[in-house]
Amino acid sequence: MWNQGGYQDQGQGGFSSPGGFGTPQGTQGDRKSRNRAQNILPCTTAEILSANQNDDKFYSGEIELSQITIVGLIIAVKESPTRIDYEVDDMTGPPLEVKQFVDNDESVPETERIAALRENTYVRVYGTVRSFGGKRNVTAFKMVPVMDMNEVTYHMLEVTHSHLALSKQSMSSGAPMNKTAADDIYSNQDSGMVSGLNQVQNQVHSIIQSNMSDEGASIENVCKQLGGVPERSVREAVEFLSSEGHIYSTIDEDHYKATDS
Amino acid sequence: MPQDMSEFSKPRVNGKLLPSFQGRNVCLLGNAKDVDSNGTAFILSTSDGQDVRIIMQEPLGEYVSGLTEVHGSVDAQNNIHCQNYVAFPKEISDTFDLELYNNAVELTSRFSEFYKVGVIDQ
Repeated sequence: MWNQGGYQDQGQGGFSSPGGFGTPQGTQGDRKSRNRAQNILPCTTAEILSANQNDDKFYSGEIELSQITIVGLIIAVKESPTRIDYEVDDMTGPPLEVKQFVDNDESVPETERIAALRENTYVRVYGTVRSFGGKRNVTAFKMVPVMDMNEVTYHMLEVTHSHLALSKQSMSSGAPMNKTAADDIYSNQDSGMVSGLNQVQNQVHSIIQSNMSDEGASIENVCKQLGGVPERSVREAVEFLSSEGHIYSTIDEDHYKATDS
Repeated sequence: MPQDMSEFSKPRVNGKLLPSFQGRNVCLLGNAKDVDSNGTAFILSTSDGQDVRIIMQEPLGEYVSGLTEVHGSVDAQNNIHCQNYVAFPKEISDTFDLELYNNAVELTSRFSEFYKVGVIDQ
């Protein structure tokens, strides 16, 4: 249901293509509830407890804290039929109140109830930052026991990395934006001169484009120049490029020239 | 009202960082060994290979070995007076990458603007 560990929830319809941003700027008031919570931010309890509150939004510097994930030690557990209240300590500040709403009424079979986690064990929390009666807490929608302590190390690194990435993005654009994991894939890839092509397609197009002979580049030729790419992938790329109008066949189905060479 | 939360934090440290936290609370994760005969102290081998003496308030009720996390205050001799500890089972102890954790400790200690510890409450 929820993206675990990613920076962007791409489930929201209509807002973003994979290369787009999570939260569009300048949204209308009536779409407010749908625009929130597009990202899960890994953070520390100190950050949550120190965040500034503006209406019902929380900010850590420029970053909006909505859905978060923390990893910490359970200090206290209190169970009731509709709720499990935890206190979680990740060593960065005082224990954080984490509430998990459950349906553990007597009428619910035991196998379907959510079991409370034990004190003095590490847990990963996914939840939303809230304030109740002036006190900050997290309403958890998922609590997962930590089975491998490398998750603690991982979380420390992920918090650092995500905050660094967000601060860089904020600096370059001048406006606070939430970084998407997809941004990395699209910005790092060498897209060459034609957009909308993947790496193989681009390389094949480049090779065909640079061939000045009358009959154009042969598939065999292209494969040779690309070295490790299997012939089937080259043929698939050729078929795509041809259907898009970037190349056309000449003397036979094995020879192609580029339309824009 | 500004509130300094650093008194509630227990920053993760290793042997190298420990001396700069004298008089403060820390969280030390390492491998336990050499429990003394009274169970009132043991040695924790830190993620950067240093041996730190852990002094218990009450004698240990169990034998600690392998991956162990200690929360406590650092005295002038760089011993830790233990307030709480977490002993991990062998399965978790065996899979833990201590060197990577050591890197993470030093990294988060260096980049406190990204990994926030005990910040001032607004």
